[in-house]
Amino acid sequence: MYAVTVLTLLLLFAILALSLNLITGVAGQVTLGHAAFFGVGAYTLAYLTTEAGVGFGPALAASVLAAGVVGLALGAVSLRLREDFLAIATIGVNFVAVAAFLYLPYFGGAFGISDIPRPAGPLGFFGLVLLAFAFTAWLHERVRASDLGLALLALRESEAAAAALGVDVRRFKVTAFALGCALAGLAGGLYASYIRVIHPEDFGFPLSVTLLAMVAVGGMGTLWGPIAGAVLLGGFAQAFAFVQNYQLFLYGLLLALTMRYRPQGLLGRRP
Amino acid sequence: MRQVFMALAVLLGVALAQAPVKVGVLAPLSGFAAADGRSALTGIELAVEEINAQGGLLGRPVELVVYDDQADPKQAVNFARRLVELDKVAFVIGASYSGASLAAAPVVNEAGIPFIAAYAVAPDITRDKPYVFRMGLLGTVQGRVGAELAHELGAKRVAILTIQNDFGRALEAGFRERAQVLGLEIVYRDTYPLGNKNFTPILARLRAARPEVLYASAYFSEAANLVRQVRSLGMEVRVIGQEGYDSPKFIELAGDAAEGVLITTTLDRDSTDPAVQRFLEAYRERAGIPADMVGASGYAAMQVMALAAQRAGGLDGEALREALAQLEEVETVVGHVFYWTEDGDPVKTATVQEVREGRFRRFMKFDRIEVLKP
Amino acid sequence: MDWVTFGYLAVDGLAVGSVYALTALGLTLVYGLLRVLHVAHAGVYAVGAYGGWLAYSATEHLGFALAAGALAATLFGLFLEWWFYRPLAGKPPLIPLIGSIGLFLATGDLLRILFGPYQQSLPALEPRPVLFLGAVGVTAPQVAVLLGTALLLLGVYGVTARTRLGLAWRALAQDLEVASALGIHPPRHTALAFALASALAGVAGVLIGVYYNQVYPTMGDVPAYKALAVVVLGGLGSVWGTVAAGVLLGLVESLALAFLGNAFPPEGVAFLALIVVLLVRPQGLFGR
Repeated sequence: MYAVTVLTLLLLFAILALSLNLITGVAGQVTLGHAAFFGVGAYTLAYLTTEAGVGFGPALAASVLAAGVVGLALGAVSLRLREDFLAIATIGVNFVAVAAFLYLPYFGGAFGISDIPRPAGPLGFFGLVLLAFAFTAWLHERVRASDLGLALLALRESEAAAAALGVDVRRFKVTAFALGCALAGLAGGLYASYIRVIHPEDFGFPLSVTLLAMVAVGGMGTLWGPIAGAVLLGGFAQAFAFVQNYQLFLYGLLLALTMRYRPQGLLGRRP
Repeated sequence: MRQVFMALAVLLGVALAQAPVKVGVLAPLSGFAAADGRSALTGIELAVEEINAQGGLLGRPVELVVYDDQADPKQAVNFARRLVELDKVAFVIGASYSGASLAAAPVVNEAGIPFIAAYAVAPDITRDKPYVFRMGLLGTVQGRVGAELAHELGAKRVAILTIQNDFGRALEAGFRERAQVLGLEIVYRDTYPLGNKNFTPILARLRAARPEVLYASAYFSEAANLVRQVRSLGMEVRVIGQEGYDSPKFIELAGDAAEGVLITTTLDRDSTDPAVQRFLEAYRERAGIPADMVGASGYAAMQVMALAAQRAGGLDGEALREALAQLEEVETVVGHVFYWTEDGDPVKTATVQEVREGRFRRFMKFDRIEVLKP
Repeated sequence: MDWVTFGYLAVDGLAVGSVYALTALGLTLVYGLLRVLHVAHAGVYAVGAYGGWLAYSATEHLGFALAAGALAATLFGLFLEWWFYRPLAGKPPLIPLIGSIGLFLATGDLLRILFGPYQQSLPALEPRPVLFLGAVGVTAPQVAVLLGTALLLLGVYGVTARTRLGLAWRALAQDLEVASALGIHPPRHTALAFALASALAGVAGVLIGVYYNQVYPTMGDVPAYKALAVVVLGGLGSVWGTVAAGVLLGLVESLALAFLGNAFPPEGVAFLALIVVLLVRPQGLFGR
C-alpha cells in the first residue's frame, strides 16, 4: 500500500505537469500560477461533495469545468501581456486565488474543508487516478500531434512565423490555457478526494514553482519530460528521506544544477 | 559500588540486546515551520534518552524513525504510510502543524496504530478517530482561558487581533464565547495573515477604539513585532497572548517591549514539580536555548505514550489505545491532565505566564475544570 | 482619521516602501542588463542579513554590520553571476528563472543548516522615537531605514547618471547588440551590475533585520515575490520607476490597512491591483 500511496501522488503530479506543459511547453506561455487551478478543482469538488451533497462523478466534472472556465479567462488576459509580465501576473493570480479560498464563505476559511469523501479504497482510487493520467497523456499527445499542436509548437518558436503561416495565434493561446487549466482542475478534484482535507495554503505559490520546475527539469514540450520531472521532484522527499536535514537544500541545488548544465531538461532535446 | 555498575551494565546489556521499539515521528524540519519542528524533535529525543537510560520501554530500547514532512499534507500522508507499513512503528508522534497532522492521522488510525498530536490545535484531528489522541490544549479551550484572564485583570474593553489560520480562529472562537459569558465588551476585532511583520497600521486603528486589553493570537516571531510596535506607538494597552508566544525567542526578539506581556500556555517555568525543573535544565543543556511549549509538548507526548505502553504491558495497538483512553490524573511538563475525552482530547490545567525581567514567570495557575473541558 | 495617526502611517509606509525600493532596485538593474528574473536576489538579501548579524554579534556596531552585509551579499551575488547567469546568457528566460528559484531555495535552506532554524535578533537600534515631526514620533530604526535608503539611492543615481559606466549600462539595457558593437564589454559590466545590485540587497537585508529585529533563513520568501511585483509595477528595467513603485506600494499598503483593516486579504488585494494595472498599462505604471 505504501507504493500505491506514493504512486497515486506521483500520478497526480504527472497530470499537473502535463497540463502545465500544454501551456508552457507547447504554447510557450510561462505561468507561475498553475497551483491556483489545481486549487479551484480541489475546492470545487470538496465543496460540492461535503456541503452540497453532490456525488463524486458530477463533482469531478464540475471541478474540470470550473478550472477550465477560469483558465479561459486567464488565457484571454494573457494575450495582453508579454512574457515576463505574464509570469509575474500569474504569480498574482495564484495569490488572489489563495486569498479567495481563505476569505470566501463556503470554503471553510482557515480551517479548510475536511472529511471529503473518497469513492473507493486506496487501490481502487489508484486505478481511477491511473485512468485520469492515461486520459491526460492521450489528450496531451493528441494536442501535440494535431494541427493545433503543431501550430502551438510553431508559436513557441516564433509568433511572427506562426502568424505568417495563417495560424490564429490568439485562439491557440487561449485554447492552451483553457485545456491545461481544466486538466489541472481534474487533478485538483482527484487530489481533494484522495487526501480528504484541504487548506488554502496547499495551493500556494510554492506549489506553482514546483510544477513549473517539474516541466523544466524533465524537458519542456515533450511527453516524457514532464512525467519524468513529476516523478523525480514529486518523489524527491520519499527517495531522499535519509538525507533528512539536507532534503530541501539538495532539491534547490538540483533545480539550479539541471538548468545550469542541462538547460533543455533531462529528457529534452537540444534546441 | 562495582557490583552496582556491573548489575547496571548487565541490565543495560539485556535491554540493548532486545529488538528496539520503533517510534515514528513526523515533524517539519525544513521550510517555514522548521523552528517548531526542531523544538518538538528535541523534546521527543530528550524523553527517549531518559527512557533508554532507565532500561528502555518494556525492557526494550526505543528507536526513533523521524521524517521531515515540511508541514505539507502530501508529504505527511506518504510518510505516515511509510511509518505504518515499512518501518512498522509501535506508535506515531505527530510533531507537525494542523494541516499535515489532519492528513496523517487518518492513515495511522486506519492501520490501528496509536497517534498522538503533540501540539497541533485543529479540533478535527482527533474527531472520529479512536486511535488518535492529543497532547496540547485545544485552541477553543485556551481562548476561554484568555477571556478569563482578561476578566481577572478587571478589563471591560477588549480588542481582538487574530492570526488568519486555524490556530487563531479556534482561539478567537473560544475567547469570544467566554467573553460573552463574562460580560467583556469587544471594541475592536481584526485578522492578519501568517508571517505578518508590520502591525503599525492595524494598531493605529485599534488605538482609536481605546481597549484596555489586546487579545492577540500570534506565533512568537509575529508576536515580537506586535509588542515592539505597541511600544513604539506609545500605547498603554495590556497584551494577552497564548502558547504561540511561548518561546525564549519571543523575549529575545521583542526585548524590553516583552515586559509585562501575559500569555496563556501549559509550560509553567515556576512549577515546583521537580520533573518540570529537570526537563527545563536538560532541554537548555541540549538545545543551547531555554525550552518552549512546543518542545515540552513533544517531550510530554513521548512520555504519555510510554506510560500507556507500560500500563498496557505491551505494544499491541488496541491495548495501547485502551490504556491511553483510560489514563487519568497524569502529571506532565505541560500541565496536569485530568483525563482524555472520548475524542482523545486532554482535559488539563493551563498556566498564565508573565514576562518579568526577560523571563517567563508564573502569573497564575488555571485549573477550573468547567472552563477547561472541551 | 486625525493628522497624528496619518503621520505615523505615512512614516511607517515610507520606511517599509523604501526597503521595497532598495530590494527591487537590484532586481531592476539585473533585469535591465540580462533580461532575467533574478529570484535568487532574495537569497542574496538573506545572505546579507546573516552577514550583518554575524558582524553585529561580534562587534555590536551597526556600521560594521552594514558593511559586512554588503560585502557578504556582493561576494555571493558575484559568484551567482559568474557560475550561473553568465553561462546561461541568451537562453530562453524560463531557464535562468527556474534555476534561480532553485538557487533561492537552496540558499535559504543552507542558512538554516549553518545557523539553525530560529529567528536571530539584531538589536542594533531600539524601536523608540528619537525624532519628532510635530506630534509624530519617528523611531531610530525608521530613521536608519529612511536615511540609509536615501543615501544609497543618491549613490546609485550618481553611478548611473554621472559616470561612463552608467552610460554604458544604459546603452546595454537599451540594446545589447549595438552596445557590444560599440565596444562595451557586457561580462565586466554585468558583473559590476551584479555587485552593485547585491550590495544594495545586502544592505536592505541588514536594515530590515534591524527594523524588525529578526534575521532568519526564510526571510527572503516575501521579498522574493514582492520585489518582482514592484519591479513590474515600475515597468521592468526602469530604475526610477522601481523606486517610485516601491515607495508607493509601501505607502498604499500602510494606508489601506489602516482604513480598511484586514477585512480584505492584503496580499490578494495587492496582486489584484497589480493585475488590473497590467491590464490597463501592460508596460507597468512607470514603464515606457
